[in-house]
Amino acid sequence: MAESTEFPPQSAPCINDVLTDDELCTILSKLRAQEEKDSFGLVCKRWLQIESASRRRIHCRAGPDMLRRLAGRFSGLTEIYLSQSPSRSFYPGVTDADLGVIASAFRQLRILDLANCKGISDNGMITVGHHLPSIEYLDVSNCKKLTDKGLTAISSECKNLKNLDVSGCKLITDTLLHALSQNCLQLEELSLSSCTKITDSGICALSDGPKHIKTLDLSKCTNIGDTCIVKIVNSSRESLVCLKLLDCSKIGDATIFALSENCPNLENLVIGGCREITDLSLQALANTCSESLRCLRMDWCVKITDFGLISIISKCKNLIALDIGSCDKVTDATFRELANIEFMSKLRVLRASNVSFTVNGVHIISEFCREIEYIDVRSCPNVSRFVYDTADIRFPLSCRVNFGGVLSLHDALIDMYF
Amino acid sequence: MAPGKNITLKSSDGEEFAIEETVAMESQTIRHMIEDDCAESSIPVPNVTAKILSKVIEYCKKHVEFAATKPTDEELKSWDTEFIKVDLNTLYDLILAANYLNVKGLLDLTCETVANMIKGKNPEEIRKRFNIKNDFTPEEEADIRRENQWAFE
Repeated sequence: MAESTEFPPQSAPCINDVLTDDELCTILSKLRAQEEKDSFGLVCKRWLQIESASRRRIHCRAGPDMLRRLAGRFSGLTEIYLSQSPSRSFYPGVTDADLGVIASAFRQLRILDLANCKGISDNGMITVGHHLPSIEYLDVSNCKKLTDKGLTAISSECKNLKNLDVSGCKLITDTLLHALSQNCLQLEELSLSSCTKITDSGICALSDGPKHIKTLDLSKCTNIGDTCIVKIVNSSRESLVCLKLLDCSKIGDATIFALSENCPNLENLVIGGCREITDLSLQALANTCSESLRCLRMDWCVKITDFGLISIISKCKNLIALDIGSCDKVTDATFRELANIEFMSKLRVLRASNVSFTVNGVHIISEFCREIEYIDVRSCPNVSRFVYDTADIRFPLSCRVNFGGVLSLHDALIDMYF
Repeated sequence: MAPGKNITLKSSDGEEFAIEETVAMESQTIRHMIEDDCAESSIPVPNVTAKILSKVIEYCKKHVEFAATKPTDEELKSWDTEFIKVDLNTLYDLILAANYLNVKGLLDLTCETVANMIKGKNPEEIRKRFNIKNDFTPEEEADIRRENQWAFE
């Protein structure tokens, strides 16, 4: 837009004498880039106050001094992201004292991300709970010092809690789940991954509380079994979108049948390592979730055969990611089904390490999965690099075929899809 | 559209403007007054001079027309661009009037115009443009810059 007429500076009024904060705020809202807003704030003290008060979200890696300054400047924050990197973190990182500063400064805080802030303890959580009842989203994954004491304090004060991530907090027990069940009825997403002390009793108690759970991650909670999952599934029903039970080896057909009876909106299911699951329940699931299922991880479900997998592959039209690693009874027949029904699958990621198909199966995949981005065939007894190369299979150019290595791409994909 | 009745607006310096009700209702403030039956023969607009009020009315008239004729985005933008070619004083007064009278389109247009004068400039350039005195000490300014480095959206 062309600038309006230039006016000689001496006779132009000072904008601050004419406009009120309200109008200056509206002008600020038209600036999008952080750089522009920063410049706005550096013009004069009044503009700084307007800019600082308008900020709602902040990501920072800050020591205690800087945190105090930021608390003083940005009074209107509702979202604070302080997560540290899991491997390298500056010592001492976020402390309970820092949480004290945050708790007293930001009364309307809704989102607090403290992932990997290994320095915080129950005292910090108690302070947060006491001063910030409006918290809706709390991520304290891998804050290893936390116990039930700190987190039950949060649950009793923060009744609007929707999203809680305590994965990696290995000291957490069923006590927390009882507290959540009584206090946090709005809970939608809960991650207890690697909280190995959790048992059936806790999850059963949880199912009496919040009735609209969308995401539940119980990966590596090796004590839990079908009874409690069936209860949760029966209580949250169509709300359930994502369920992760990685390495929960006691889980069996009862859970999968319950899902097929109650959860038509299930998109993401992780049952890797649930060795007891058989074809029968998988077929039922494929029927119910034919439109909804997008990502299915079932590596090491060693009882599964082509019978069960054919249902999945042919009925679940929107499947984009599938992990059948070490399902060694699976053969070409599964993928031949795609050719039989002439179905162009939307599959983007296929992890099939240690599976019994041959290069013919791989060939069919290349023809009927034109959107494939990554295929993992490591340790497949009948598919080697040599066999693959001589068979002249054409995957889309951007597709990566993994015969034997490159773990980093691998991990990134696991996180993204499963 | 049935011809509505006329509304009279009276500026702070006493001048009266007779306009159609549909045009007057572009201002949410006046709209509420009409709907709440508070509108008498003549509505006073005490904060706005005749010069500015006539500009606001011009904007509202044109945009009511646009709602009927449905011009292209280009035609609309072109008219708005010409309309807003005013001196800085007038621009500020239009912002105040648009805010007071709650004419959303005009408020957006005027504030965007000012925002465009800010974009791409460093703080000193912005101060010059709007005649603002720098009330930061060099230390204060350095502190703010440091904070901006550590805290991002």
